[in-house]
Amino acid sequence: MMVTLMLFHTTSKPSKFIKYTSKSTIDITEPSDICYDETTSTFYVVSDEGTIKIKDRDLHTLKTLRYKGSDFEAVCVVDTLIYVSDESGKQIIAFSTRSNEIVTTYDIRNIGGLNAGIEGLTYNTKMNTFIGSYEKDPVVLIEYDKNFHEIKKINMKKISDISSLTFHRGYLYVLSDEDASLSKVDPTSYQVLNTVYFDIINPEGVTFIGGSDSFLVVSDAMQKIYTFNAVGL
Amino acid sequence: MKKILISIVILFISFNELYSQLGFAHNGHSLEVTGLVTATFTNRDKVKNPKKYLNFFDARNAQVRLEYNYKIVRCVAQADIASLTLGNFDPENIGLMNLWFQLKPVGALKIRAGFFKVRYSRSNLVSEYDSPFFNRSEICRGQIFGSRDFGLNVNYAFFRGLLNIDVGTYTGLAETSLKGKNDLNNKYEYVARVDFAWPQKDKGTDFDLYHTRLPQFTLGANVRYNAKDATISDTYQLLVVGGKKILHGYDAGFFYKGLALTGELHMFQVTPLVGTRLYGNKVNYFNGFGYYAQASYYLRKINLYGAIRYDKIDQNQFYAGFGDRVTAAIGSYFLHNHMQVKLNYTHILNTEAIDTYNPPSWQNQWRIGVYYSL
Repeated sequence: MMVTLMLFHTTSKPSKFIKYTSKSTIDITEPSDICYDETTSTFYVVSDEGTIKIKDRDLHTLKTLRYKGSDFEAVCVVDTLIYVSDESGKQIIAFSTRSNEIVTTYDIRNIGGLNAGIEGLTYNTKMNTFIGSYEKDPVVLIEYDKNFHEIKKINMKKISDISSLTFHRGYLYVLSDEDASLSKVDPTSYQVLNTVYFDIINPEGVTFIGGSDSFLVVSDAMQKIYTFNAVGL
Repeated sequence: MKKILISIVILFISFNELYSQLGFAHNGHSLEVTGLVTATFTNRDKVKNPKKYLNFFDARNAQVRLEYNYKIVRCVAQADIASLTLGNFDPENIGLMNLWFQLKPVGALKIRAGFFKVRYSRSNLVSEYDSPFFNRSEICRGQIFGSRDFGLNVNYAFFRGLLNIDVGTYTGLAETSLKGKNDLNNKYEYVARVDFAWPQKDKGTDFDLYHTRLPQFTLGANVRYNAKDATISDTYQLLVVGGKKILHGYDAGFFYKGLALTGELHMFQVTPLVGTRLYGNKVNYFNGFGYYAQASYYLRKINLYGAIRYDKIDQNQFYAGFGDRVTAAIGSYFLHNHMQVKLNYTHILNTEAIDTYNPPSWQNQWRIGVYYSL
């Protein structure tokens, strides 16, 4: 049964502005999300044009998947599966990390237009649940079980929009395009614990690099990847 | 009755997600249904003619829009039911708004055919919902150059979409092309536009809703040419003229942290087939021009915007047709940006009647409107 929680978040630490340590251009048009696969030490980058690229740690392209979707907005890796949200297709598509072929698809039924689907997607390794998000109007997090059955929805009233999600060292991280910020969120209470801001246009994807404190932010409009140190988070 | 109304409002606000747009997808096919409803109230003062005292309610928009996508194909059908039922041919408020299909065969190449907004003038391409004003400036509101037309347009976007080049050919009859006939000489209108934005793509609005963090610039230049065989009337209507007509226009925009500055200049030359309007002059053509400059600021924390615009037009250097006006706007968004309330005040500074039988009917206008984007 769907449960809707209305939370009024508070920030426990003062927010701060951080600068990227490096940036590079990415060879994918309108990149919309990125995730890191610790097992293979590779990145997966998806785009609004429905493409998936696999990159090594230095962000060199290793492979472009043959499958072409319509509007990929989010990506995460769990075990040997790559989960990709096709926003306008209203689907989550699971690919094998080994064969790169489709293993299964999940239909996401939601009221709303074609750009009102799953914009962010990550996996809560503590609870063994997926967390998805709607970008805005309203800004909502959704917990799913492993078969993408909805468990509950959480309205995130203190965040302007959600463009990407990632899970790192037991915390949920929420990227906002309009605020150009990354917020550390308690994955149980969904309280915002801290937020950092940066001067990046159109940040659409975020991932941490393995066990390090560095994270990458993908800019859709600028077609660039920025590297940050997670100081203060 | 009051309790029922309050209950409806509470229900509406609580479950507004139910009222948002609808999307359906299956096996790569997708269909989206959206809409826009608008009601306005206008109050104008009288100038000279007591019969022209006007205040009125207007069901300005009752739009339904269908968009279908499958791989490289995109189709859009959009109509304003309110204007359809009234047989309205006001270019800013027309019945059939879009009926086109588009192919994206390779890379950033887009080929569009059907009835759609002509890729000329940035203002023409900004929707009413994305502007603080109900009406465009006099030069851009569809009386001098066509806003929509049947035609074919080819677009190619370079450098992450920062640079766009459009070339197209149209009937040249603007909204009257909906009647399905061309003029006597069956010639077409040719339109080209180049626009550039930096450092990111132009969002195509007259606001800076997202408080752009780095200064954003846009520049555009466009030209259109036609040679029609339509009859020019006594009150020289410039939208479709009998003769040659060439327009060229330039637009620029600046957006930064809530501030949006935009402006356009358009110049045109008409060489009419019938020269009665030019009798006594040594040239067989006349020139006209128009421009506007506007500024808006969006207060993001309280969802409130304010804007002001000055616009001027001179339709003919030999005869009447000069005018300038200033328009101020204030408005706000509600319900996750699905609802907008807008108030405009327009003061006509100068105006010349083209037709002496129809002098200017008002000098000051107030208009308030409520939009709901479905």
